[in-house]
Amino acid sequence: MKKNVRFTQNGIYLEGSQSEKEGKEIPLYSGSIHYWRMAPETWETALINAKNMGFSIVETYIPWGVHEPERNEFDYGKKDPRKDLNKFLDICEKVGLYVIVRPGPHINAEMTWFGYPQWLLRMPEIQAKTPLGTSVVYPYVTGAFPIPSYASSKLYEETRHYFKSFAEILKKHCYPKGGIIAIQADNETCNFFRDQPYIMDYSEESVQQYYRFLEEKYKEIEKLNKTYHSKYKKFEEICPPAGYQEKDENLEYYFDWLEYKEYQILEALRKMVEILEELELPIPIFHNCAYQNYTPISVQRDEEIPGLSVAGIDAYPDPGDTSMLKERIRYLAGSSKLPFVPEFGSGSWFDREQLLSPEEERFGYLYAFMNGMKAVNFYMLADRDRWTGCPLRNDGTIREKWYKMFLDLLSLLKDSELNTYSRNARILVLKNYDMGRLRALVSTRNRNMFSSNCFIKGTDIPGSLWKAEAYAGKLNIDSCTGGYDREMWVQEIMETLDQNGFEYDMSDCYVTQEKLAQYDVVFAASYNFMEPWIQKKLLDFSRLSGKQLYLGPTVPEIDRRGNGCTLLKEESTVKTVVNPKELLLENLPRSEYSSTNCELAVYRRECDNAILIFVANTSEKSKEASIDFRGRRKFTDMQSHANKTVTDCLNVTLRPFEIQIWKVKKEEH
Amino acid sequence: MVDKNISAECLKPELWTHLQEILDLYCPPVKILHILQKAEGLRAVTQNGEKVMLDSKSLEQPKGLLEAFPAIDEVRIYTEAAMDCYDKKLQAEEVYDWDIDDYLEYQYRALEETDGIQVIRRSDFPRHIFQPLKKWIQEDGTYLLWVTNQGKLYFNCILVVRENKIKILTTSGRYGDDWEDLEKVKKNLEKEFYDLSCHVIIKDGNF
Repeated sequence: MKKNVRFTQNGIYLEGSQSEKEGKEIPLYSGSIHYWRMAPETWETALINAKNMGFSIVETYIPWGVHEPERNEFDYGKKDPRKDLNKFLDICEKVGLYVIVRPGPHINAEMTWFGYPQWLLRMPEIQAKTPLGTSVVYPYVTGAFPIPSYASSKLYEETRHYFKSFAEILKKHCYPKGGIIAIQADNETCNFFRDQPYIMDYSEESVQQYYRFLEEKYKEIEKLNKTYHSKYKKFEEICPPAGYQEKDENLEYYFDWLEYKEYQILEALRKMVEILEELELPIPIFHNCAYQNYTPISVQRDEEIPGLSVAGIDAYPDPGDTSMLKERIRYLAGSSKLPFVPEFGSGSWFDREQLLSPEEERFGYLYAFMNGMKAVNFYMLADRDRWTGCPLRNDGTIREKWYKMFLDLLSLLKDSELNTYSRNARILVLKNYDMGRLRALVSTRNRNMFSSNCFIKGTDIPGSLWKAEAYAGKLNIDSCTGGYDREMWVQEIMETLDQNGFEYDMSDCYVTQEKLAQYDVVFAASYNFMEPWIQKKLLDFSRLSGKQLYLGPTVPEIDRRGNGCTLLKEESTVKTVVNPKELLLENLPRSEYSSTNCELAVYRRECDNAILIFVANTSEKSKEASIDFRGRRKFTDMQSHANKTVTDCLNVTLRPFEIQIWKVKKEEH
Repeated sequence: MVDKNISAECLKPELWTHLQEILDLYCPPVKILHILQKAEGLRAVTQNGEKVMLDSKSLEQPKGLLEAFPAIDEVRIYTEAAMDCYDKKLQAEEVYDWDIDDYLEYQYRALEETDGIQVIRRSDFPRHIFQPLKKWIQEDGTYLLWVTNQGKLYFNCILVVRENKIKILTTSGRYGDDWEDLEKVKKNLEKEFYDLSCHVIIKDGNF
């Protein structure tokens, strides 16, 4: 199916049409409005105000449970005018807005059953299972419901049936005939945040899928037996692990379970994309990961799914947050084809401990752009049931302070043409995905079922109570506290680079070879073990002219199964960094702009060598900062448009949590 | 108590941002010591995952643990098998028909009623926000909680209860320019929900 729209490195490209002969590339800055949660007579007001704020794209879910509340009884506005999707899309086009649609089936949106129809979730053949044979509960504040299984064939059969119900509406409204320019496959596909390894899914269909996964991997049972030191006659004899048995040395048995869960999610997405492709919509498909850059989620492998163009990661920072945003956005920059945040918090869910002020939100947005975000959908633009703090109220009218913040922000982004610039970090820090798997697998079953919101914290039994203490494997395990993705060496490398003003992106072993080659220096977290294919990938990189590869804290000597693998150990070009604090910095690529007392990011535009510099004060106190360089430069503040022409150094004053953007032009003396 | 289709609307962000502080007022956070009994010994952690060294003798007099750890409000002792039993109860088919407050009550009751799990509490503190709410909400009506910080409006919350269920959660933000005036808000509430009696709690604090 020919697509009339595609994602680009700068946003989204719309092919020429009858009304607009020339194709055009537009920045991907959009905001969410939920039509079914607003009175239809307020839609136009909301959309006009969204446009006046500076948006050219809006986004909406299309919830299954809203449109098919009873099986086979669809309503797209005949009974309830709030469900008139066609009318909503008509108005979007009338106002001159493009639209991104997200039909799920998983939605969340603080809906009672996360957007699924209740009748679907109560079907036993849909439900995921715990190792105890029960369904897996999701205890949402409006009531618990059973989590569906990604292995359930019935789930896809029903999803297909639902998607067909709105296909004609969407087709009518797809660009260039209408305003729809992209569609999302599912939503935050991660087992409803139950991403720990042994909570689910042990349903019959899932276990059958597990066997198929093992057979695809090993081809023959004898090869599996050789790896597991076992004597199975067939794959179906294997009992999936329900927790790490302390001192068990057969780690590959557990690694395979974790890899299966990753496979299950990738398969789920693949099926969702297939179902969407059947609708023959001439628009690209994308996905949003919830927050994980560790097992069982993988942005890079999502993007390998045929038909899936881009995978982003959602972001809901706390006030003043920098560490989550820095790592997440830089990970996107180093891993994805388009660093896109499909849900960036604007306002908040009703059962969150604290809302952000407009200033706090603005700081988070600019900080994300500073660290490499290129595309964003602000979730939400208009208040709705169970969400508040947006620039528009539920009736579409303006909420002054938030509206003004977005007006200024969109204006800044457009004036600066930020989307046409790139950060082009020269350094890449690679987390160790297998270490994340290892830390995950050495746990028994996490008992804490309750979601984290302020009304129902539940019995809150700490996960550390269930972590295995007697680990008996040959593989060195990182002792960093915190989530699976925490690695001491990676944290220290980041600190060292940050303290010395080096810009870097992040990724892991699933980074493509092509993307890897774009960097001059790679810091790769490595332990005594590393799979041969990863060692080969890094080796190939290190042998490219002008590239540097640093490993640490140690160089691998074995693979995951304990077999010798010394590809990197034998390579003379590879450097080892045991202690990141002692890293020698002279050979690392430096930017021509630096600062010793504030965070800095340099963006360049290839076509005209234009430069934008972000300078950030991430503290609670005002700061006098300096940007150092050599030569004479004219600096233009992209907010105030004030100019300064200086030699060798620009001094700026930054308020607490302020981020400034300066356009820079070289001047002759 | 909580209707599955409860509407949470017109939540004025300037007030709603203080939600957690207000919840902590009525349902203060508690410190729990979690102890897992395993064949090879005990494992004990606090709420934030900090390890605590204990020997098995300390379980001979579980109440003594409250004396040994004066900062702890509750001690829970588990076994893996007991937790399996507990998990099964919490994920049985019938729970999906319950209101969330009933489910929460059940999860704590089941903890105390499952063989192999012991719960020792220092006092009868509320376990979740619905416990104090249930004491306040005794009949259908509108319930207005008005909290000031040294006299200035800091937070408010309106619950609309019909058929014993909280149907609407909202704030005075629904009343436009009247939102900061208690008397005007009360009048608006009485007018909008004319068939329901209005109950008000006013609290002034030092936040």
